[in-house]
Amino acid sequence: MYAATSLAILVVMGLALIRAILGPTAFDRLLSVNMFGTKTVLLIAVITALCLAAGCFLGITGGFGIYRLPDFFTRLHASSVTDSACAFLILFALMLQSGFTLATVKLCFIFFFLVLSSTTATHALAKTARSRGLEPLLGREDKR
Amino acid sequence: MKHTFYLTMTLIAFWLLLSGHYTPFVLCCGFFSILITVYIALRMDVVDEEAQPIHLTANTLLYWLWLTKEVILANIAVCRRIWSPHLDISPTVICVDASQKTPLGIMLYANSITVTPGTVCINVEGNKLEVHALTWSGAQDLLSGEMDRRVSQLEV
Repeated sequence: MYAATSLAILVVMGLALIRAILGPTAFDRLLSVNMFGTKTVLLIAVITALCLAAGCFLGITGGFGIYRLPDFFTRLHASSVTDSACAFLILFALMLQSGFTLATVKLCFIFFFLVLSSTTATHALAKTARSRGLEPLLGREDKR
Repeated sequence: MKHTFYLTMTLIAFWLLLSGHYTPFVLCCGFFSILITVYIALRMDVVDEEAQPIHLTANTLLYWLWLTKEVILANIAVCRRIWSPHLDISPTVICVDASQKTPLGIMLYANSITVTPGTVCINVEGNKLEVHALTWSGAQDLLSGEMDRRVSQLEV
């Protein structure tokens, strides 16, 4: 649904651009540039919604994984889905909303430190669990 | 001396970006807090090359782009496994050789493995990495050694 909406908006933007290039009078050009601007704002809103929805889905996937997977070491992988892609999509959506402001810079910092610290935490947790004698469950070869 | 200068500059840029308030009083506070931070860092003797890896090159940027692509693909793969009705996983522990020569390179390689969903680096001993993979095929991809090669290229 969102993808179709953004595609439609992109088509409208393209048509407006064509009119702006062809447009016999200056008024035609101004009209189409105005339309282009409006559609850009709409497109940003749709992309924001798209990113938030995808981020939420990934977050739910991570939560479901941490509930469903059989042992500690496999659950680590579920949490790393939440840490990487889910965090990025949601922060990216917020960046689109805040535009070229200091808030965007801060969101970038948040993402940077989130990735850095969650990676370190995952490794530290796994290493400690292993050295404390927690044996990973080993599985069969999977069917591709 | 050079590293102290870099650290101070980084902290100033960081402070200015985070603060967003530029009145004289707040600027003074920022100035003194940076001064104290640099002093403490010097006392702790942690101001060296490792503290501020600023050898950012076009190569590093390319590597990040490639890593982003890998992370996206791995995310999709792990999500598919989690939602699959039969929980199609095959947890595997493998040992990977890191061909990097510096500790920083090995750190980068191990972190790249951990940040990719589906593989987690459990232990590092010398240049042997112990890696836990969610699936057998994920472990095979890692053993093909493409990531190792790309990280080694960054070291030069």
